[in-house]
Amino acid sequence: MEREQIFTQAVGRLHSEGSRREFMRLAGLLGGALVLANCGDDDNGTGPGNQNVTLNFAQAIDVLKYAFALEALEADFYTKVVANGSFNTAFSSASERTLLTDIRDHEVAHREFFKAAITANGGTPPTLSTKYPSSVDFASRTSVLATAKTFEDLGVSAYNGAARYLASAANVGLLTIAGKVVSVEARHASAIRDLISPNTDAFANVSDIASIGAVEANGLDAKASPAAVLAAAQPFINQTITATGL
Amino acid sequence: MNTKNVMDLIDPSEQKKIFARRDAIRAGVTAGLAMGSLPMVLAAMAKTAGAQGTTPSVNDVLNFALTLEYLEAEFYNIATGAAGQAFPATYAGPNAVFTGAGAGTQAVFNEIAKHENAHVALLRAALGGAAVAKPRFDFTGGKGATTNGKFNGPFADVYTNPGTFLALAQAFEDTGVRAYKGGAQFLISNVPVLETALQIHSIEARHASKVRRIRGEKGWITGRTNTLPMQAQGVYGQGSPASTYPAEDNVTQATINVSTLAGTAGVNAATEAFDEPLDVATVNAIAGLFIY
Repeated sequence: MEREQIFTQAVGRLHSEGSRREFMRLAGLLGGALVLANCGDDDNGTGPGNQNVTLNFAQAIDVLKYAFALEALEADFYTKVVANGSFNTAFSSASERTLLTDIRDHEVAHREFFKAAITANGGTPPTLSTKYPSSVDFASRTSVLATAKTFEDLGVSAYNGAARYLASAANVGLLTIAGKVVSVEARHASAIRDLISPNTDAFANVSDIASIGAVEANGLDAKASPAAVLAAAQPFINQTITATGL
Repeated sequence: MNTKNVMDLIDPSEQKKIFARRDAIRAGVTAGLAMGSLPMVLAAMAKTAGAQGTTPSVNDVLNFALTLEYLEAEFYNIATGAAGQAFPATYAGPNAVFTGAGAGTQAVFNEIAKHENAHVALLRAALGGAAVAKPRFDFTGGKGATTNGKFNGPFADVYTNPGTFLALAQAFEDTGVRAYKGGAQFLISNVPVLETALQIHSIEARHASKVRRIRGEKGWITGRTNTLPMQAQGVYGQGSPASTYPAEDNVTQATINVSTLAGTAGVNAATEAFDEPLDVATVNAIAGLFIY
């Protein structure tokens, strides 16, 4: 449970007067490079700690928030996997435990990086909390690996599908960062798939994820729109996340 | 209220002028531009990328990718017999790549070969008449020199020793991931091409992860640990310039030191969690070991 506290961030309040002042202050720090019209609805709250989130993909900082949300979900999942009382019995192989612990550490690093990047650019990471459908059994190797596969393939599809929102000279640095992360997610996906179906073509045969844009016949990995990715992630996140500016 | 990135509305030649300046942000402000993009930390990287001087065209990047895919496809086709490839008389044989290499290894490489051949076809179709021809490869690394009709480079046992084959496969896959990652920035003018390149990029990463794991390594790259032969030491090293193309032991992303952020697991996790791009020249130097 303590991880959920880490998972939770302060909520942006760009619509309050105080926040408007804060925004103007930040805009000044940023050399006046932002225009107020860019200020998307980051929250239309339904109550303290349960603010829904609207991401405007016309602005790069909201692409960062999108990445943060997905990484926070993955980090939360693997943290719960490794912390589960049945971890050592569900995963009797030490090498499998190391693999899952490594992935947890990577997802936490991604989450913390995006959080820091959002903050460094004058934004506020959205407040999010997770939930898991009853089908996710943290004490079951089969269930954990199936959920992990879903998350990793979805993560790959998300970054590949978000690149178009960073395809400008001004955002090319962020595009490269996204590239640095997505290949690690793909490495995870490969390893998880290989644990499920060892030493077959499963590590890279993406014919089973055509629904999120993969084309096995052309050797092309998944690529999905933020709307599709968020719809798939929504069952795991308490707050409603809406994509605009697509 | 969506404000399109103003840079998108600017004539490309004007953009080039702006990014030729040392500080893209300052240029934008001076010109009275409002940039609907990340102004600080991440834009600093755009400056670096834009200051490269010679910017490859989309076709340049695709041909660069095609050359790597030709290399990978032929390398695997020889091993698997895919695409009707007979075992060439110029290599020491018989082909023993999958002998004692573990259950399912051939299925793994059949899948990889299928993808690389698909990538070649895709890139050739995209480039049409502009596609470069397939170069001559010598996977022993000997630039085509022979002894008794067999390539005699340092990897003369590439198809008779599974260990050599797997090491080169890892070098090619991890280099391929870095190459596509480095090339993506030059494809922003063509979103469909950019997306296709990225879809290939992450497939290569799936390959790399599996090949590494067959070799008993982690699927991800820790620091710049390199278990590959001496000739492939550059695979995890820095490119040029190192500020844009750091070695795989880099822990700083967009000026943020990931290894020291609260809650993270330190240096190894920070290096593993981010793969690094590589520039065209450095990739070509690695691939060039096998082209004559």
